[in-house]
Amino acid sequence: MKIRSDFVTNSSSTSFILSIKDKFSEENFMKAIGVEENEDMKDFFENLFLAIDANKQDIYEAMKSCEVGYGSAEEFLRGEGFDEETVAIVKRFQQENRKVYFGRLASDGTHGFGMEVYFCGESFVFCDDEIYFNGSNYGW
Amino acid sequence: MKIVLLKGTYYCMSSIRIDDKEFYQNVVFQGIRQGSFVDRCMHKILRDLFRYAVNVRDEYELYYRDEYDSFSDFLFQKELLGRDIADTLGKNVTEQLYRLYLDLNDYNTDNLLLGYEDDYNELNRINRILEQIYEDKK
Repeated sequence: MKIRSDFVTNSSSTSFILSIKDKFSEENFMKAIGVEENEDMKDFFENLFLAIDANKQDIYEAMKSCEVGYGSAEEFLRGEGFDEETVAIVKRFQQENRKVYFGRLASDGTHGFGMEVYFCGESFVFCDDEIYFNGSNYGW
Repeated sequence: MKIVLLKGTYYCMSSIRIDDKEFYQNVVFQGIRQGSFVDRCMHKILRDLFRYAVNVRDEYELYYRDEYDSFSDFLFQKELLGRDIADTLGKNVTEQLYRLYLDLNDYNTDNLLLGYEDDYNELNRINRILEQIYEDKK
């Protein structure tokens, strides 16, 4: 268990959208984010992988499990506060039959330490040939 | 090259200058694809760790040399480090000592990445990564 000493604030969380070129696995995730041969970096980012793996859902499953009852992934994303550019990118991935995941990272989550907690307070969008990782929708 | 937490303040002991733009611009992380998510993330963390770092020995030489008998005394009396630590750091002339300002630079790096005290896993990992950078720069 991780224990905070010092000043403790309220928890933070961020929604994320993730799509990687290959099937989601630890090996492919590490490859997609750029870790090739560096064990320390792998350790450093493994916590992020574990948190994503535990909290991710296929975007359609996430949409269906939402109480609001959205009719499409686009509506769902708008409802979650993502912008039109993000909606358009996800739509394109769907047309390309690329798997898109939705989930949340939280500072008080199961893996709530290290890089998971770090990314809870960051607003980021990263996109290259290997990965689309959007964590722009965060809150304290 | 190592970051340590002493009396609630982060310091970096380094034999290369970290208060130099060139230091950030030329860092290459071993085994990491350049331009990748991790590459950019680590560059940001590195900047947030070392931005506004103050070279404590330079500060002593510039402003406090007349006031304190030695750099060790300055560390003990002004920086409020323990006597043993102040003596050890004060006599170390091969490495620069930097006072870091993580709390001014980035909330996440300070409070979220390094703010847990039950173990020092994240700090130890960062130190191992810094060691790799140092080996490259040597």
